[in-house]
Amino acid sequence: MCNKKVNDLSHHKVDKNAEEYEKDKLLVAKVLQGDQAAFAAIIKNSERMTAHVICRMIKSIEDQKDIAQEVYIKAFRNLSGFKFQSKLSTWLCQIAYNSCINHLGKKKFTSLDELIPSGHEVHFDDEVNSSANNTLIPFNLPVYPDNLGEILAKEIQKLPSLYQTLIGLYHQEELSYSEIREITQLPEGTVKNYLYRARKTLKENILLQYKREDL
Amino acid sequence: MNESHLTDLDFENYVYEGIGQNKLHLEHIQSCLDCQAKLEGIQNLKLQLSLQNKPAFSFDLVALVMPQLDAVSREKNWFSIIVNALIAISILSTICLMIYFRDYFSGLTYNFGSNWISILLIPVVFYMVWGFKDLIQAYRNNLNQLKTS
Repeated sequence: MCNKKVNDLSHHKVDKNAEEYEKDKLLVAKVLQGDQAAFAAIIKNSERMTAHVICRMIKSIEDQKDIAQEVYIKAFRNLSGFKFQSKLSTWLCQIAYNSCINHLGKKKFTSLDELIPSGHEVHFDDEVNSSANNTLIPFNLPVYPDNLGEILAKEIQKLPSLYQTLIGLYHQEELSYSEIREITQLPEGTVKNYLYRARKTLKENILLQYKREDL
Repeated sequence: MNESHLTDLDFENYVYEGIGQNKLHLEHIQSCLDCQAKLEGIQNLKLQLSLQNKPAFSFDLVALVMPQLDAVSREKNWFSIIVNALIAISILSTICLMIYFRDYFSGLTYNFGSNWISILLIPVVFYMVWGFKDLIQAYRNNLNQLKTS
């Protein structure tokens, strides 16, 4: 019964993807024929996804504006070269991610370093081996209470920008590891590792928060 | 029954990857209150992560981008016309030079006999037709844009 439910869900996702693919194809064809209104539709359909990348990685609103415009102008220029090897939204997110990295690289302050904190360059396989033999968090964990959502929102803001982006893409947009790999050009193992570490940091910080409140 | 508690990674795999749900793990979770509580906590965390507010731009992106598209289209059309023209000129001038120095080239192309110019002309004609098609497409796009504006 459970398997049937999983199958139904995966079929639903495949149908949704196929529908999205056809819709994107039609919109791109229209834009290439000179219909600019179709490009407005592309922007509306994909801006939520690109906002995940841009708003998480760039904090200044003015810079967000510049980068978001740059992303869509670049996409418009190169739309004829888009071969539908990935979803249109994934391609746009990839442009957004690269633009953010370039932007942070140009501004020679610590932002780029803040993307990934030092000491986090561990592969997922290493992580598997290192934690297979120990239980890292004690077992008397509380079942998280009702205000977890609020606390979580605050704790997510404290994470490095890249972790925030990955959490958004994986948990909120429900992208697969391979789609996130396409966007960030990070190996799939690294994506898994960063997500694992991000969630672990969140769990630990939330526990600390509760301990403080208990005191 | 499996007495040892599940590790952090077992839970991660169980909740996020859908793997590691082996019989021993399942049996242990069913009988261990600590692991059940921890699993419930992680599942709640997963749910709350998916329910978080999604970031959104605080400005109207469509209104910012759309006015710039006309300029980009014009720039793109001119660019493709110039590139096509340059390629066509260079191909034509190469053919002219080859005709002018045909004595020298006939030595190099003796394998093709006297038809070597027509062999070269075939891709050129294809390229010209292709370029002409692009030019008509660009013209039609401009007309469409005029109509929609």
